[in-house]
Amino acid sequence: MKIRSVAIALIALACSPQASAAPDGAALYESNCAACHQVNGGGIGLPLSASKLATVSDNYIKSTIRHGRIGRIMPAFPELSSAQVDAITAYIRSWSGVAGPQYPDTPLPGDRRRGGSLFKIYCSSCHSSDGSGEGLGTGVTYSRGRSFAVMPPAITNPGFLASASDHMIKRVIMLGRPGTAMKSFLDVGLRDNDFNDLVSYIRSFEAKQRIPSAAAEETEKSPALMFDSPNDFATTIASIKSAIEGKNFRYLPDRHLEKGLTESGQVNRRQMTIRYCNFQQLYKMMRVEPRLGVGLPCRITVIENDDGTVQLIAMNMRLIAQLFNNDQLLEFAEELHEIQLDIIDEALL
Amino acid sequence: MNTKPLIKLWLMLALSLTSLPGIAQNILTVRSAQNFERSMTSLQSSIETHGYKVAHVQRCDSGLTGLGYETDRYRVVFFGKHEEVRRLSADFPELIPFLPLKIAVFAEGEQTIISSINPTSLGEFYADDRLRIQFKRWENDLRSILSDMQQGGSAAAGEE
Ligand code: HEC
Ligand code: HEC
Repeated sequence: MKIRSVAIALIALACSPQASAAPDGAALYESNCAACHQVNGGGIGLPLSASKLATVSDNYIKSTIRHGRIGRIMPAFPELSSAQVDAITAYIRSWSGVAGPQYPDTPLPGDRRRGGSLFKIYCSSCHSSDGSGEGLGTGVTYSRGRSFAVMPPAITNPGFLASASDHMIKRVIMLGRPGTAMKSFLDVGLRDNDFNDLVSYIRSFEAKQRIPSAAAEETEKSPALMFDSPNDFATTIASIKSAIEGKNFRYLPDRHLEKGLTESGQVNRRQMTIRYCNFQQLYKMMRVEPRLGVGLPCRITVIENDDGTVQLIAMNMRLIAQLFNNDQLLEFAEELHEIQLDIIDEALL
Repeated sequence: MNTKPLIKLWLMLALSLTSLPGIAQNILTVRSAQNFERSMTSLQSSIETHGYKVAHVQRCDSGLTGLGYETDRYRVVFFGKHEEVRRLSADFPELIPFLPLKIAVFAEGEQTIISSINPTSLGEFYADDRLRIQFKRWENDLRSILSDMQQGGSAAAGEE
């Protein structure tokens, strides 16, 4: 009897629209995309506006979901099924209510070198001479002032190049993107063969793409840097602090690792975290990656083990920075990593 | 007849299978429709509902506006379970830089963005199987907390 009701419940479940129908594009968009693109395509990243949707194909949207934008915050979504990707795309499409254009996959013939000269004249002021975009951040990046309402993106991005067909790129250059600094170059007076040449030039970025994993391979794979201290607990703490000051950093009051998690009498006093900061350095990083706070890198913890040995533990920033999918962050992380190692070196002298 | 709990279980199973959000996201991020102050309140109560204690809240804001941010509201919430932090930091000192857990909260206009490292992404750097399970458990809790935030706050915030 019991089993039977469960079976009936299961059948009912299987027949109910929520459980059996095609994936719910709105819900999938909400859980996967809205944190950045907001509920309506605004927010972080390039806006998914109606005027843009009118120039991009469904294939472009689907491929962008699959590839993401390496180094440009948007992650790839390889785990979504094709049905789910289709549902998200249809949902985004429903905002404008107009079917997307379709572009042939055929490459456009063009003169790459001539395209390069045109690029320098008409495009490099925004997309930079190597196509890598302009300024800090990408598209619309969080709540901070920008030199453009929408930052010019990197058109060298592998995710973009893998998703956009030649014909689509041509269309974008011809019509521009209304509401942003990307104007119509048809209006500027460029002609059909100019567009083809520009597309050939943009396509040539594909050949120059660096392999992002090269840097990753060199990086020490351990997420924590650990060192043995030749000194006792108190001396180690004191020497870290003086090394921090020597680097013109400021340190915040010490905190026991367990502080705040239990009554102060219970706290393990042999684990001390030293937090330091160079606000300028930190904010440089926050500008390109506001989510940085999830890592708060500038901390060194000193622990004293039962056998009396003292160790020093810090985050491996180079490795952790790679989790953000933000190329611009990597350089800063590298700098900070070096500083952190210097401090530790000096403290262990 | 006590089929109800069973049906509920099946429903939960079915739901958890169909509504798996994007995996392999290294940084979990949600957007809350609540403003910054309300988000901070509901985040802290959701954290506690999930059995953690908020250890402290670090302000990271002084000087942000000077750098061109339109907001100076940026906080990092540290939280953990005392017993867990003690046990893990003793067994796996290499985990210490990530303890206690952290969630970053920052205002974007009238909305709030809430982010955290996906512990499972960190887990890929650690070989120990016991840690795998721990990271997965943290991930589930964090996703649940963030999902509370996405839904506009937990029950406690609704009482305000
Ligand atoms: C973590 C933030 C984030 C998430 C999550 C995210 N995106 Fe993006 N998206 C971005 C950013 C940033 C860009 C611009 C990247 C660049 O500058 O190249 C972008 C670009 C795009 C573009 C290209 C727009 C154009 O002008 O060519 C599309 C389409 C897009 N995203 C769709 C989606 C969809 C659909 C999802 C969910 C499956 C999603 N994004 C999830 C941040 C995100
Ligand atoms: C005044 C600044 C400016 C100039 C000049 C400019 N662009 Fe853009 N471009 C932008 C901005 C801003 C965007 C992003 C708009 C959006 O997607 O919402 C953009 C987007 C693009 C895109 C789409 C990229 C993507 O990820 O979706 C392509 C392709 C492009 N531009 C090519 C060109 C070419 C080629 C030229 C020169 C003929 C050019 N742009 C000149 C500002 C500019």
